[in-house]
Amino acid sequence: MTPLAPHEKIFVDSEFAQDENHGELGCEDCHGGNPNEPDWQKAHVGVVKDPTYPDASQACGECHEEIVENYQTSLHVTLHPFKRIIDIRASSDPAIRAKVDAAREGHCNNCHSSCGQCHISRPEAVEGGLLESHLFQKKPPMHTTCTACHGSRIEREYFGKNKGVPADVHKKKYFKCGKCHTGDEMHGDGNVYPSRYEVENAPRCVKCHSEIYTDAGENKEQHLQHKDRVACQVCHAMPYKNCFACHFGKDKDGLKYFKTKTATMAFKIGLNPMKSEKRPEKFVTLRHIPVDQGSFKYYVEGGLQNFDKLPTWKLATPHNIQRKTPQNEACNSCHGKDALFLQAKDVLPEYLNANQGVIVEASMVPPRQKR
Amino acid sequence: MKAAKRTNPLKLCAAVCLIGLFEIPALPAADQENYCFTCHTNPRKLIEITRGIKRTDPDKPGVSPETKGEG
Repeated sequence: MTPLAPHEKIFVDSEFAQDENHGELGCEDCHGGNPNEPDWQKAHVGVVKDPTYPDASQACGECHEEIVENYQTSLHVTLHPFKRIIDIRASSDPAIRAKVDAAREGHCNNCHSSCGQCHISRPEAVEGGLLESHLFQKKPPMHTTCTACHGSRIEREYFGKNKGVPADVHKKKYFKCGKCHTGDEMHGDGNVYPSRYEVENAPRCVKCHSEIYTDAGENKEQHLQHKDRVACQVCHAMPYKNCFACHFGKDKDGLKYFKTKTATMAFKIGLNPMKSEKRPEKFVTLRHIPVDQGSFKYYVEGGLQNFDKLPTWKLATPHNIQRKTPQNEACNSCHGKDALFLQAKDVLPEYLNANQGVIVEASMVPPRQKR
Repeated sequence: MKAAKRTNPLKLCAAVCLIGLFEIPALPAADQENYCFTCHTNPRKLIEITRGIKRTDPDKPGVSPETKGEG
């Protein structure tokens, strides 16, 4: 993503005044400040940079009532799953928990978005700056909003930026993020979901590939054999990024930092940690997330006392889907291939307890086929 | 049968004038300069101001040099 010069970040296209929906609003109607004051410093007293966060009801709600009604349940606004998983791992001691909470607020909560930070400006988490000089973007531009934040994993996978791994087949068909991740999904639907994988209108492969289990579908036999037993990504994803041991704190100047110990490319099939009626598969792809027992150590010792309550190898839907992958070339490209499966030896000793529920024992690896 | 009532041209003229008059209050607002718009649509002005800010506040916190790895 090309960085913006300071003046580019705040330049407004005069064409904005012609916007039939928003151009008639005075700047101060949304941002506050005093438009009649020639001194810019005095004019900016009381100015709100993003009038859509944390509450969009004033700025957007008058016209976009239905969308704003659900705003407080959009995962991009609340980051609820982050809070939930940190709460599960956090110490039950209220004093320690409070410190973990404060650190989470300071470090993790910067990564939220808002109406404005998708449709008008780049997200603040990537230093903001107006998109198209304040001309409202009905569909947020992929490079400057979606992958500006979802860069390390999703962007690199989807655009084929990981060495030796091609771009996602959907990218080759010119699909942008919004093709699968609809506005309805992004805006929230009024339900507070514990995880993005449980969002009702989240993407499902079968929404488009509804024919794969029918006579009209290619490889119907294989698809039916694996239906509800193996997630689509197990056969159709490629190796993806896994990060380890992220720690964060403040440097000597008080600036916040994070440090990730390592990042490796790997492809690991494991047991589904989120088995449900909607997601019944036994085997799924797992990605290692950068959490560590000492992630909050700078702020408090023993912050994640209940670290082992959740696996660090987490259900993943890699964004580098291919029709043909090394593991789907033939039955025995996967069956009997222990190396594809997450085994105890693949898990760092300090994370073994946390991952007991997702590790595939040798006896559980599907045996080689005799044909 | 009831005859259609003919519109008095004078009344019609007065009505048009009244409509015009009600539009007038918008004009004084247009006379008053909106400095947000004037300034934020002027790249030169914005460059001057942002350079000025940089000069007076050069130590705006950025990313810590200790940040390492992928987020």
